[in-house]
Amino acid sequence: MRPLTIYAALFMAFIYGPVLLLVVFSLNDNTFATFPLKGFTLRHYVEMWSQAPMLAALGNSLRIGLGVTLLTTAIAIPAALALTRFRFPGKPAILGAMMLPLVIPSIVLAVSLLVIILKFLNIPLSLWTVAAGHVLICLPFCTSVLMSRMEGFDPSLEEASRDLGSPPWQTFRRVTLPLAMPGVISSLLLGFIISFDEFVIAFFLTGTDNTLPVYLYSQLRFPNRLPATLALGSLILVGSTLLVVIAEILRRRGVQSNNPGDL
Amino acid sequence: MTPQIAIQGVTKSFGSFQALKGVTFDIAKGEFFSMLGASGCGKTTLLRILAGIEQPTTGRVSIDAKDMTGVPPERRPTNMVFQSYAIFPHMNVEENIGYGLKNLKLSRAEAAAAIAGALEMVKLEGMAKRNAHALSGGQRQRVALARALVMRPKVLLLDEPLSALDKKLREDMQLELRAMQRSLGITFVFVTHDQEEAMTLSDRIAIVSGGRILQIDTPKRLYDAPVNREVAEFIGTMNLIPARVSGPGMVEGALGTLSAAFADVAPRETGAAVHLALRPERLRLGDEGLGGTVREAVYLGDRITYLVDVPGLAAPLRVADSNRSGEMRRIGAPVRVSWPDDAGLVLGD
Repeated sequence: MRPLTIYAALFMAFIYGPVLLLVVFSLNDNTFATFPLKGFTLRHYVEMWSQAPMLAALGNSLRIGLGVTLLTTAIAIPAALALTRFRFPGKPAILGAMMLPLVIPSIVLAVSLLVIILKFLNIPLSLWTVAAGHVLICLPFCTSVLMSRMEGFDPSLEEASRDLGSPPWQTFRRVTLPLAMPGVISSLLLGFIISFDEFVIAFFLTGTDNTLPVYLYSQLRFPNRLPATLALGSLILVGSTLLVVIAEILRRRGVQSNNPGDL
Repeated sequence: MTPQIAIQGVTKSFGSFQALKGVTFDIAKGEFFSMLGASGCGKTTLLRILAGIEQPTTGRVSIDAKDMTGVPPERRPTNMVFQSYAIFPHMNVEENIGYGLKNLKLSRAEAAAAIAGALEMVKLEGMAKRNAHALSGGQRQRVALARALVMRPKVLLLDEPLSALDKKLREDMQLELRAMQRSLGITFVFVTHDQEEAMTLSDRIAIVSGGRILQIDTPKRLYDAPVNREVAEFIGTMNLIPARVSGPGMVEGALGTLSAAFADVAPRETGAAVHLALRPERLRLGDEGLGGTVREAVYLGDRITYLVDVPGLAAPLRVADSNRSGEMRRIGAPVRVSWPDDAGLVLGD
């Protein structure tokens, strides 16, 4: 084998090995995640469904993820449109402010949000405050995904729509939005995954309800609950892989359908 | 001629760049009007102002005596064929052509008939369901044309619509466009950087340079009587010989002192620097006239182009010989160049 091939194989093993171990142990007939493997079982996958707090946390995370990504994308679409279509005073500053959460460490963000929410706004902590924090950190990602899509198509398409009698709103509905659709879907998926996966902000801003990452962290103290956690982790792994594959397929289809427009 | 479009004192600035520096002229109803100029001269900006995509910084445009200031593109009686064609990639041919019809509140049958008619006009029958990606450059151009014409605009605006096509296709489309414009009777405003294309198509041509109009005239007048050196260089080829005004209707230079017609705006005061302009096809090679030697000879079949070095002239004279005799002069051969008295025209810069 050539050195680069070996390097690539090691690289893949390094990245995906731990993840595969998770799947392997979730199928192992043992309460402890240790070698040697004892035997194949789906027991943990069945047990998982009887752990009500875990399922409640999963439900919370799914609901927050969905709500956050819908809201964030709804905010990011007009923002991306304005930032790619118009020249206006203060544009670099606004763009910078929107992208700032990308570079602020999430622990800093979480603490400052906590202070603002409790001291200044006086709102009790709940899943709503978690969702609000997640919108903040998802916004730069969703906006930049949408911006790169909206920069990608010929501005004369929108001009042609106006010229053919469609006022701005109709132009948006009939031309801009359909052409930006692959970006919208990427933005929805990205926002969901970021929120679903997020720990630090959820940990600081949640009230009595847990999101899944926060719940899983709290369960590490109980070794006998680990296998069910591993089983859930494996299912989430499959689910998020599917989402990413779908997003990638849609993105490629979008690139294809856009190319002839650039001729 | 009724003016259909009146452009009055239009300027346009983008930041510190002044794209249009005050433009005033009329375009008549049913006219095929071209704006000709190098890229960046302001011609496309002016077209986009007519479409309502850009608003003039100062000045105004009226169409059919209605002030268009502040009227958005969707409420103007104009439609545009974009340089990139701007075919909607997420729609097929039929949906592209029908796009604007949906805004006109036609019945389903009326819209279908209009689309069928438009497809026939641009010779794309049978392509209605073809996907936008599956179209060639020429077909995209036809869809863009049909999509605009199906709206029955009073004025059709065309932004270099033929520049992306190969030569043969371009020449065919030129003839089709001309025929279409005549049969529809719609005013066409056509932007191009190709002077031959402008000459082929237009009733009148505006020469645009540096955000100003240099001259608006018929192709024949532009060729025979350019107002200055810049126009002369833009339309066809021209021999320009530096000279000075030596008296009323007289110039002197390397060719000696001769009398020549002056362009209207050429300087007339004695001593002013001017150019004596001579079209290559008005020059004759023969037994009399200015002595010189053939530097280059290009055989084009219907004519032969010679470059003739003349002592005292910095640039060689370009002579277009009609090739009636079938003889070709050799490079280095001594020749004499002459021209009829009315061939010379005195131009300022």
